[in-house]
Amino acid sequence: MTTLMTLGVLAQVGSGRIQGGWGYVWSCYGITVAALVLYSLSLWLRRPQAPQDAKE
Amino acid sequence: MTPVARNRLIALGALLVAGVGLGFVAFGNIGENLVYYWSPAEMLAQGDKAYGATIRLGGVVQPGSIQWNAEHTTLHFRVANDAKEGTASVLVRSTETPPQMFRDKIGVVVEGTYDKSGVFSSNRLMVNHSNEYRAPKEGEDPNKWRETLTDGTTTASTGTGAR
Amino acid sequence: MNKLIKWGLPLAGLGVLAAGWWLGLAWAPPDREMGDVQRIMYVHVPLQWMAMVAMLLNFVAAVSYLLRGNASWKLDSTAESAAEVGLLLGTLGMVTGAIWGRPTWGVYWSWDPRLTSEAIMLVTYTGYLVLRRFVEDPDKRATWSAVVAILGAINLPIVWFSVRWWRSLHQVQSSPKTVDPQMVLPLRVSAIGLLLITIFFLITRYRLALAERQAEVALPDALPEASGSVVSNAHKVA
Repeated sequence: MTTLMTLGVLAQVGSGRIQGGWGYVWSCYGITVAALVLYSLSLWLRRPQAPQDAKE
Repeated sequence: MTPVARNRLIALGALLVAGVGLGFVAFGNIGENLVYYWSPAEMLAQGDKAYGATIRLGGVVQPGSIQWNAEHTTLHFRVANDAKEGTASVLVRSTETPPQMFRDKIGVVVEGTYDKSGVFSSNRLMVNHSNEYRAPKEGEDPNKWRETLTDGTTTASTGTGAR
Repeated sequence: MNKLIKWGLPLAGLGVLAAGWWLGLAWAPPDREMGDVQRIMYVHVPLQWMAMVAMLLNFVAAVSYLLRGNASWKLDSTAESAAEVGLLLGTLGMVTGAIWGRPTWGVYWSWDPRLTSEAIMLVTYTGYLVLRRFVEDPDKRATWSAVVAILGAINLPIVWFSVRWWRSLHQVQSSPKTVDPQMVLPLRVSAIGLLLITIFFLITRYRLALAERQAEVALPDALPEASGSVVSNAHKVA
């Protein structure tokens, strides 16, 4: 009985902790890449309309 | 006043305010009034005042004190001032799922209330990470390593027998 | 020169960042305790560093703008671009940090000194950009926002030193001594890559801001002589 309970406890140990994994990693990189791409797009959309006179 | 002089005056004024503000934060004792967490010794020193209020308690998990209940839903452990033996410690009861690195001797911050029975009921359990990042040792797999870790705590819990 | 900035800089930045991230995701070992989640470092830390750099640039530009006194639209545009780019990077830094916090700390968020000061920083620079939107007169806008920038900059050292000055959940800064060399390398390469991309963003956004400023101040009498005349015109407007 005790061994059975111990086994049951063991089975739940894995879910007893928040497990880190690649999912967290990919979300971080994905969100960053997406945001940087969107920001580049916004810069392009907001580009000065009149052809910039060639300074510098 | 010319706009130039006005702007310079504004700059000096703003810098002065910024400098004083920063100095106040850096060298004033804000830190003593607004602590993020109390150590077990500090909390115990508060006596009756610590009862009932929602507070944060921070320290390290006392080695060998981690105990799960049979259903693995409630966790008891002691938060000690530091990893040395014989320092002040407080028994914590937590229903929160601990993060992966939760183990003996790791830094923790728990949020909850302390009551007269001497148990700190926590509904938020956080683990402090150090600023060290190391590669696994030769032939060591971090995932496997963590499995042995969880096994260890379970044995401890069955060994000491959770109430 | 222009072409180099327009194409060379972002391409170089992307290349270096890709190399750094590849090193971090595939080449570097996982952390002993944290496992693969530690690889979030190579995106989170460079983002926060570059956000800090951008905010410092904003501060320097704001102070210089006021001290120069003669409505330099270049400095004003620099400040504006730095705040916007810094806000983007800082927000991403906070989001990646929150995701990292969940498996490591157990929580996405806690009001610890570092996270709180970081949140105040993001709110400050959001306010800064909103203020700039609401003030129509370019001269007043530049002056007022420069004051906000200087006051907001108080927080930058607080963000940086918060983990040393006070007890916090966030750990203190790592150094090469506390990080294995196989992890330091990808971090540095990623940071250089992101730095190049940040510079590219700053330059692009700066040109945009400067074009807007010049369109605004050149309206009354459009005599595109040199930027110097535009500046003196601005004063007559003010």
